Amino acid sequence: MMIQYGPHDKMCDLICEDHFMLFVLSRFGIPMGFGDSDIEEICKRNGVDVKTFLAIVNMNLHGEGTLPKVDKGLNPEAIVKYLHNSHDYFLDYRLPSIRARLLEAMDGEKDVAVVVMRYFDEYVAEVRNHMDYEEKVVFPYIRALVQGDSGIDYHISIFRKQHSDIESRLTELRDILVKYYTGKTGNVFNAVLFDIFTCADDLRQHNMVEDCLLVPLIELLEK
Amino acid sequence: MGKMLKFVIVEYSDIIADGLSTILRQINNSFRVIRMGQGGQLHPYLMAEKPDVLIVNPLLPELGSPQKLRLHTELPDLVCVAFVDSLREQKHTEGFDETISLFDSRDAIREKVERLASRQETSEEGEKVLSQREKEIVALVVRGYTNKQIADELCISSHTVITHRRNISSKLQIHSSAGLTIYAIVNKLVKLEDIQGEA
Repeated sequence: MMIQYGPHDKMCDLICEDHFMLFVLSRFGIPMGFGDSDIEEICKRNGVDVKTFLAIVNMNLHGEGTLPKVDKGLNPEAIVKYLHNSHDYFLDYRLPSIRARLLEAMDGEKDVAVVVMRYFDEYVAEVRNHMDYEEKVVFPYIRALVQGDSGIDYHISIFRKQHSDIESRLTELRDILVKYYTGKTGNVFNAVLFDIFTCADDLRQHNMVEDCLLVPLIELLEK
Repeated sequence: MGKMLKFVIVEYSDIIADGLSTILRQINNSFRVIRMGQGGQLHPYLMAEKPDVLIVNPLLPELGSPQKLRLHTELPDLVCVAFVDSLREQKHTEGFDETISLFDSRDAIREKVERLASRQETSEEGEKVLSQREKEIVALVVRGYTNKQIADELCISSHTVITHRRNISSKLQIHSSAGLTIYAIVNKLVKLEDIQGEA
């Protein structure tokens, strides 16, 4: 049976069950050092909507198998803020740090490094486009909708139809490196490969929050 | 283990045969395990059943060596496992791919079988290498040639080029041309200067 976390579970139990939740915490702006406080307490202390927090946490823990029940009790602005913070995280920190380590890992493999970096840069540009669209079109629409401004000519169904997956080209790179890379490998190479695995999972979960939480919620609000 | 393996057990003792098949099915319940009945003839039986793995007492008179068995049954990839008890010495197991002993623990058997199964899978992976023609096409694709240009260069139809490209994608599991470029450089199908300036 899968555990669903509730408001009165301890925050530290959640992190220890799945350390991936560290990513979720940092995107909600929740710092460490929670002692034995429960989830509700910590969320209140940090101004985070506890219901939204739990929906995202439980969905990330259980994957596509058990999608959360979406109802109007969820806070769309909290979800948007979470997604915005994770965009910043991927674009300003995670992907640049993978790029730097990739370069370091392939030091001395000049030709391969050139084409791998070209691949990676194309991929990052694609991610940037994908996220820019959400930042410039989708999120402003949602903020306006929540504030009762129906003046923006947009509909969440447009987003639902065109929203593409974001990690498949990164997993392709991962698989190419695993299956075909014959150059020098070592600790740095393994570390960056590990980063790519984690980052791809993280991106997939990020997209799932958009597809399975944000979109259904906005569809409810549009009615 | 992705593959469903088919096992044939040739063993006169019901206790041993039933015990072995129980353990094999516990290891992976998609394994098919059958047993040659009393009085069955080994070669025709194997040729009819075409198992992936044969588990057999190495002292069985009609067995001969695993090499000859594979030849006679026209099953070149047949994995032969010797089943031994303390009385049957190891020296009779020459040429076998693996030996399972009456006294092996469940986990030891599991380990051996999983090793055999993964070997089966790698030999299938081997078929995924590109043909010479496909390599030529990869080299042209990453140089930025269109399908039409490739067809003209190799004197084949555009339709054939598309078929080749589809096969290449499915063999390599690479779907973008940037990904194909990495593959081509790593495998030295092109040089960096051949593709400079191409996307």
